Amino acid sequence: MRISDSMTTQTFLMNLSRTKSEMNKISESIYTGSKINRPSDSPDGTAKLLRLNTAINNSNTYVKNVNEGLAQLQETTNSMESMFSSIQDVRSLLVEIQNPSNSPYLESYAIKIDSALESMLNMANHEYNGKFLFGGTDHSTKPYGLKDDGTGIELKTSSVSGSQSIKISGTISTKINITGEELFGTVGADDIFNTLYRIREDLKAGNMPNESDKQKVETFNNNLLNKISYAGNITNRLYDCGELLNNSILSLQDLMSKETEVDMAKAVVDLEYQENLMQLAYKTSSMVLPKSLLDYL
Amino acid sequence: MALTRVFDIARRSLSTYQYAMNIAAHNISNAGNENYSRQRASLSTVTPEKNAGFIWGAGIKMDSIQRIRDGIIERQILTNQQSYSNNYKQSQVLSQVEGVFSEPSELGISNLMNQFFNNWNELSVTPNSVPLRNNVIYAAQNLSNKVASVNQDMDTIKYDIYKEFQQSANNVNSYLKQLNQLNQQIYSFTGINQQPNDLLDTRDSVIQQLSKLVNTTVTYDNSGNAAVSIGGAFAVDGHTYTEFEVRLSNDKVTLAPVGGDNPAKLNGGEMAAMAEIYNNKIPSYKNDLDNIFSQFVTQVNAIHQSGWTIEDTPRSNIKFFKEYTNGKLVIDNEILNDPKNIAVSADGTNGNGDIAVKLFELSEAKNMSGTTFGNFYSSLMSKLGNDNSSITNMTESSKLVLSQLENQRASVSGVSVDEEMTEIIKFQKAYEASAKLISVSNEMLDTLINLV
Repeated sequence: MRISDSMTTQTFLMNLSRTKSEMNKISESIYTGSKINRPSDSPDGTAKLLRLNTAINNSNTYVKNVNEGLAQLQETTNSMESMFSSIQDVRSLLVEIQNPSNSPYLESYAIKIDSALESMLNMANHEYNGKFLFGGTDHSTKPYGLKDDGTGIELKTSSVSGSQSIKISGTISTKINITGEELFGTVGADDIFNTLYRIREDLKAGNMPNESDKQKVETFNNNLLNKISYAGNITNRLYDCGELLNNSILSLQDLMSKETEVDMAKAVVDLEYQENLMQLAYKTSSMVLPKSLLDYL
Repeated sequence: MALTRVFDIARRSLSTYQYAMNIAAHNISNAGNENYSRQRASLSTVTPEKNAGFIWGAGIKMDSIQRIRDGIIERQILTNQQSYSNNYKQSQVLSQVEGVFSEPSELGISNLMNQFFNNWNELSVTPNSVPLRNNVIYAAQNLSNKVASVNQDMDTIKYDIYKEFQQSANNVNSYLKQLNQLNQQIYSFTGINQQPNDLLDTRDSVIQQLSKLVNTTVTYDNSGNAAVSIGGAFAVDGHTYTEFEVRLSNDKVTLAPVGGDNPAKLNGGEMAAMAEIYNNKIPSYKNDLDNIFSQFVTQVNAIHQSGWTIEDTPRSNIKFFKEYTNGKLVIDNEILNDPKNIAVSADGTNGNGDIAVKLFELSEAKNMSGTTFGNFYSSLMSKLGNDNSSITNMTESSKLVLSQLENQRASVSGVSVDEEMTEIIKFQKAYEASAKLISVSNEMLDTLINLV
């Protein structure tokens, strides 16, 4: 084959630029730490990456929801536990009243019942993060309060039965509130507030509380215990879900890093190799390119 | 037989070797000219003469100066030049388009849309929280900004392509004009049986420049005129040439001969690449994007309109997005003015977030021809990536072929300084010998004269 001068330069330049572009590619992956820096680096990988990223973001939001739900449930449980202690007080008061020696002090018992009613109402109207815990889904005003004419306790909002549910995975939603309806039943006559109200009024008037009202306090007490354990159940469930979500985020991140991760050792060795090639090319070219017969004439 | 014959032979060889030296010098001085084909003197003996029963040689003469080149390689270079320029230009522009989307990164549409949906999910937990409502609006604004900038940047790229296309059309016209002039100059030489080698080189290089821009077909007629057509449309021959103009109709660019009905069918060269991207590639990406976002706006609004705001008197039938037109995703002013106008309550109570959950579930709904918004967008990205990576691979391979062909051409037509120097030494020695011959015959003549 006839070799003309321009061939040597052409071949040298072409191979040099190839080596340099290879070096550029390897060093970019080292700088960014990712094999995929634009869709054309790996079209399938990019699509996978976008999907994984979406899944991770979604899971992170689910985790946020779970944490928010747990905080709210904690607050709910706390409120119900204080209600429970108030109710225990009421129950022991009711037993004390049975004792005939206490009958001259019914007035003072009325005051004690009144403070229990007060604290029950406070707990029932407990607000957390802008939400009334037992107010269903209407958070515009406190759900429970005295009637305007002061003859009992009534619902101040239209409904307390709305359930607040949160999404904790693509397919699972879970209810995180105990509605007022569930805990207190229909407010108007037989509920715990009006029962306590009646007992107080009876005591004020010097009458012993009647049996059916006492029975209603017991019923509420049982219901309250049920709801406390129900809240505990949801809390456990949310904990489990949170664990699962964190695990799945970890494995998604693992998948993602498998897709993008640069084998640094390999990249550095490759870079060294290309650099050697380049230096060799420079050296060889400095020996070959300027030489011709002219040098010897 | 005359003694002067030696003079004649020596004189002819002196001038012949001087010519040959000239050619070698021309070759050496053009060693760095990539369009140059080396030239060779074709030498032959002068027609011998018959005298005294013998045939006497009469020395050397120069027949012609030949251009050393291989027509097959040249034609292959033209063809490959067209496909290389086409691929190269496409991969260059597609890389720009890829940059516009800035995927995969946190700033890409995919992530921003995902954030938008996730903010709805967060809002569903505390539907009456104003900060969370604001988060939804911020996410929507981020998404809307990115969508607008992607669309705008693609328009800018299209505009730049159009400008470059026009510039290239001007270049095509100036090449065609040059070719026409070169044809005429070359004809004036071939008419008197001369090979205008350097003009031929120039014409070849103009044709190659032209082939970088457009796909050409070149034929040569008997008088050596090059007839060129561009994508099936006549462009130039020995007599005349046609100017080409850029036409833009229905947002498609074409290159057509002035006054001609049909545009040239471009399938090679940079202009074909520009036309392909301007007419097909970018519109197809934009179309996919438009599909996603007009569907997105429709779906989000449909759900949002069914919800209630958390104002003192809740209202329903509120749009979240005003519209998606001309690549702009516009958020409704009512939403921007007051986050309370975000309607996520299904029953009018301010603690109900069912609509927010439904909006979040849109991200998993298969609304885009059987797939989700996210997946539809991902496949747009992998389409773009595939387009670019396959074009880039093709560019690499056609570059390899082209450089091999150019190497072959350099092997045939390139100047080798070593070779030329050897030739020069050879010619120089022959020249010296011829000069010696003259002095020898001079001495012979002197001897003869002194006899008298």
